[in-house]
Amino acid sequence: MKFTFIPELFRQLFSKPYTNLFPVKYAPVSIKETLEKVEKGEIKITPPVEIPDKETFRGKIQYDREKCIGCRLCIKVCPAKAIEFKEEEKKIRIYVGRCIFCGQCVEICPKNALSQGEEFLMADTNKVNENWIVE
Amino acid sequence: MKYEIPIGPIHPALKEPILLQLTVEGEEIKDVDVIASQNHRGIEWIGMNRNNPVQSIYIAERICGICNISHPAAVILAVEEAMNMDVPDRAQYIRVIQCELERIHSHLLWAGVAAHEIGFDSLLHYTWKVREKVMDILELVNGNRVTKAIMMYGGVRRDIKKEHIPKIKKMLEYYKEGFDKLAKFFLEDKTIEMRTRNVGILTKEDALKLGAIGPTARASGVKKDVRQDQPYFAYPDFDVKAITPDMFTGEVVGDTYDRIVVRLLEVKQSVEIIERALDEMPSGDILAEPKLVKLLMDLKKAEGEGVGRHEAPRGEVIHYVKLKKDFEPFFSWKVRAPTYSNIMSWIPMLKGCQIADVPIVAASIDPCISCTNRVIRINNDGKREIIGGDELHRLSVKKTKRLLEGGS
Amino acid sequence: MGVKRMKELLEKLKEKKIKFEIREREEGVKKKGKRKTVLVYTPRENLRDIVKMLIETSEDFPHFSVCSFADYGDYVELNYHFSTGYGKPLQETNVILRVTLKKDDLRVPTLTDLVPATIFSEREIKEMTGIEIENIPDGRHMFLTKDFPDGVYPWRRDETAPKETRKMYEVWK
Repeated sequence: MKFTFIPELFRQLFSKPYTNLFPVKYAPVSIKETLEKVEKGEIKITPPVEIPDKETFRGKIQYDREKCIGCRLCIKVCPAKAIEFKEEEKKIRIYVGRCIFCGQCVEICPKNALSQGEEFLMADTNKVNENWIVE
Repeated sequence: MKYEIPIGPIHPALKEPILLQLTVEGEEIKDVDVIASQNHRGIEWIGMNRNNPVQSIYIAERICGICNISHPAAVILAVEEAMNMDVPDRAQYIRVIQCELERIHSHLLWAGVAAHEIGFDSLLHYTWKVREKVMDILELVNGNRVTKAIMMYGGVRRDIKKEHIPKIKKMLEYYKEGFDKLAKFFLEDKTIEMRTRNVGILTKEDALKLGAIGPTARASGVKKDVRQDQPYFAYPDFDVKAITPDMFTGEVVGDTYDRIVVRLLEVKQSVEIIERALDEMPSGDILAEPKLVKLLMDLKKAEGEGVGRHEAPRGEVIHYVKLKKDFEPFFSWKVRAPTYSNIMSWIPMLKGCQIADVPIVAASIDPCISCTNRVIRINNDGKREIIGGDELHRLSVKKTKRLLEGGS
Repeated sequence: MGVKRMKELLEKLKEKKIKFEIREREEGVKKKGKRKTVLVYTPRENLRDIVKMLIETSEDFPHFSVCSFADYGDYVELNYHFSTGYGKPLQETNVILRVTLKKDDLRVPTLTDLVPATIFSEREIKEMTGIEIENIPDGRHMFLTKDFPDGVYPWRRDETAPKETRKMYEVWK
């Protein structure tokens, strides 16, 4: 019986980090200050990992208002009940904050008015911010 | 003198809200009571009252984040039996591949957690690094790392593309090469053996009577695996054999070490199944009823009942579904997650252990209940003192150190 | 349980004049296998006898999975899901013991002394459906919290079912 992990430990000392150091190399003391510095161009953000397959990736929902005929099928299948029907316009409004990114509405839409994009960095503290409401 | 120590309802060693009421004498645990009524989400009620069956797949997916293929798999099996629906061959193979990918990632995740519980954090980081490979493949094939949203009544929602196959094969090669290394770190290392050998023993008889399932039962020598006993999807083609620890060590002890052995061997088994499935996968459709609107109508008209049993990484998941004509939600839906059956085996496992063993023994059944904080200890003078998660973890780490120095 | 053992159980059931039904579903792609289910219409007074029979005819111990429930208005259905005959490929059989109870007489005997694994399910059935379990050794709540109101049974479809609850998704729309 011995400590079989020790050689691996030494090997790891000299190997490159495995993780993507996102958004910056070291954890910043203040995110706000870091972001301000990014705006001024003092630091560069490490880019997020690339999307492996753009066809299969399920990102933020995109809505083509013109194509929508107001059939309400997406409302029927949405498991998170994130879609609301706007009676007077016969169009829909999607609350991305509730969306679970399953893509069921995209599949059922008869007119292909819905699709899923590549955007996935959407964290926010405000539940009703503009970025989270698609209409 | 006997003392009562509650661990939970919210505690780092248990990861999810459950309360363990321990009766201890000195360091030794004499009796255990499990109190589960901490958090009820009412998922079955939602499926029986508010959702239509298609929505219910996604709520089933969210019963557990790690078993996010297993619960939908069981619910579609039950509904397909109730509706007497045939599934295309290719879809059955894709389901098998998805289930086995999940098993690899779940077992590696558990192995990391087990290493963490005994204070072996460098091994935790190493295991999770190895796990990232399968997570990348899951993202590539499904478009999401965690909730894959791939199961659908009568098939799967997304095909495995031709250009993805070489990448999946490369990942399988990586695991084949890496397996020996991983087995060496986990099964030959002195630290792990000291903390897990002869700790938390579950005898075969107890395992059978308490209805233990999955790796917990198999580590006690019960050759029970739904993929073997009552195969579903395309599993009859693969002749899956239940894995018991004697295949590797030559004997069955039923302790925490054996449970590590079983899980690691299952990773190897899953790699082999995926490899075969990729080579033998037939071509064809992936959905029996591609029109979702029609499927919803059929589901509303259907009448019948079905039982779906699926071997999840933690054990057997069983869903019972009853459909009634002109009643859109499930008329009756019962979900039985593997931990429901395995929790009872904590009681014989923990009896006779030390308090510092609670994290690793509790984690050894891979409980899937939620996370973190404190134990209240009442001192002799009646003063309340709080042992935080860090403190209990520190106790566990201290025991590892003590054993290394030749103590007990 | 091998096929022979299964026959033994079915013979015994016929002897006692208990109705049962065998269901099969084909699974597999290239190699076909059958998923077998035996549905036993169990009268309440015979429940414990049938479970004893099941234990006798099993090679090891029958595996108890869970209890499920369906409410039909004036009567309810309680299903005990067992499986037996593990260890050999394609030999396992599901056994469902179905007990039908009238709404005004909701009680079943406990099985905990025969099959210890049933304790969690019996506690769950007790709190979720209001069925009285006779001689249950531990009658505390299982999943619902201690302060859950009495007389509200979430799985029922009558006046004792919980009223429409607050929908979280409508809170901040």
